[in-house]
Amino acid sequence: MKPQKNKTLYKRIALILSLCSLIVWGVLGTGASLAWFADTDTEVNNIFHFADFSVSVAYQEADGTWADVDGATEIFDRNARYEPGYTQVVYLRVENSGDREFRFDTAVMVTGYTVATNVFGQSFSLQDHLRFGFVTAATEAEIKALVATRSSAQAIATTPLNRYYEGNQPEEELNVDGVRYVALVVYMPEDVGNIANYDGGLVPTVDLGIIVTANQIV
Amino acid sequence: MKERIRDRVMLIRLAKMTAVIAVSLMLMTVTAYAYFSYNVISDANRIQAAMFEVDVLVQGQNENGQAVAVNPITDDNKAYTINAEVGVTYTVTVMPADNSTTKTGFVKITAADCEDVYHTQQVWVEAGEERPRAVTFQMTVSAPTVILLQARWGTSVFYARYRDEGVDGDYYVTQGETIALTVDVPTEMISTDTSRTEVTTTTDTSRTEVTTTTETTATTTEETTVQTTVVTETTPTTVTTEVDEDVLS
Repeated sequence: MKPQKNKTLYKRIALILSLCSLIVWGVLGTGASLAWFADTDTEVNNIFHFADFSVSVAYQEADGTWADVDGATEIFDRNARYEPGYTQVVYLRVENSGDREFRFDTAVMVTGYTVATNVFGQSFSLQDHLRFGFVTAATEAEIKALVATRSSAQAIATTPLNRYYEGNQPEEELNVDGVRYVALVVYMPEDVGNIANYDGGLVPTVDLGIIVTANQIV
Repeated sequence: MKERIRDRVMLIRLAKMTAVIAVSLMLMTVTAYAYFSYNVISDANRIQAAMFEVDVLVQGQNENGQAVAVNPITDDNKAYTINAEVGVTYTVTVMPADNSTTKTGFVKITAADCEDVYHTQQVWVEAGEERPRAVTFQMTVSAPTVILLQARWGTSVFYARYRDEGVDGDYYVTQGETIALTVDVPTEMISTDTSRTEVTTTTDTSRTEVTTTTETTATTTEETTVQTTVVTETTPTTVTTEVDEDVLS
């Protein structure tokens, strides 16, 4: 009796697993079939069409022209020297150059820094005395208007740079062929005293990474 | 026995099938994630701080119009100390040092035992219209003190107010202005005459006395020589001038 019982049990398990496999491969096959049937070619021979997911990010140079961003691009002015009240704004342009909608956000990351000595002989890190923030707009004119004055730009930069993970730009959707402009503001508040005025020795620096992440809307 | 072997074989086959399904699902999930996400990164950005230092020139002139030598003491270009005396007018000129990389800065003026705090107007590394490179002002003190001139970056109006605004706090010093630092001196040391405390300690010429004692006994004669050194010291004396209480008020 027992062997007969086991046989029946195994048969049932095998049947269930086979059904599961059928469902899984059925789903896969359906997905592939959907891609297959999206082809718009009028030729008799069907062409397998892949989805085009493409994001373009450019930054505005000093002369107003736009250039593509890659790993080696210096978006911030390397000759800028931060002192109390100094404010720097950089502009990014995010384009959906593919055929799939996506959501994107922008973040900064401190990838390195030097510890310098101030006039009182104390060690300090520059990122403890800087603030940053993001703002976005649909057109270049709008984004420039949002940060037209120093005070309006500083009002956007509310996150301390030493807590950069708290200041990501909120996700926004971008349709096919859509364009969105992003302004990144970094400044040193006016109330930063000699605590960050270094003694002329090692120069305090912060290495900053800017990351634009796009996720397809499924 | 045969049934047992069949059962084991069946189990192994089932396990294999389950593993294949699980792996397929994982692969499908990973492929889908890589396909639907994209990053653009710029990680070559460097932010750098500026630095502000000053050069200070101080000239003194007493009540008779004679020049008085003044040598500000400094450890570096960010702080200067001046030993200030009563009756001398100090003309101070402040300007950014050549190695300053800020656009602007100012100098904070404080003094020992003085509650007044002053901040000069802005001085600019690159001079221009309404952007002077240097500021010159004059200082006097009500009692001997040590004045500290400290270079500060930033904007002085952020910290100071004009004195005629009638607001207590730190005050603003502009080009050509004369500031009088009021030094708080403890009352027991205040006098109409110059108070003086004299402490003298003198040591008289020490003299050595030699005493020789001769003791003669029946059989022996012993001589004992004792040497003593005598030192005379005078005690310190303090001379103070009587102060009329009415003068203090």
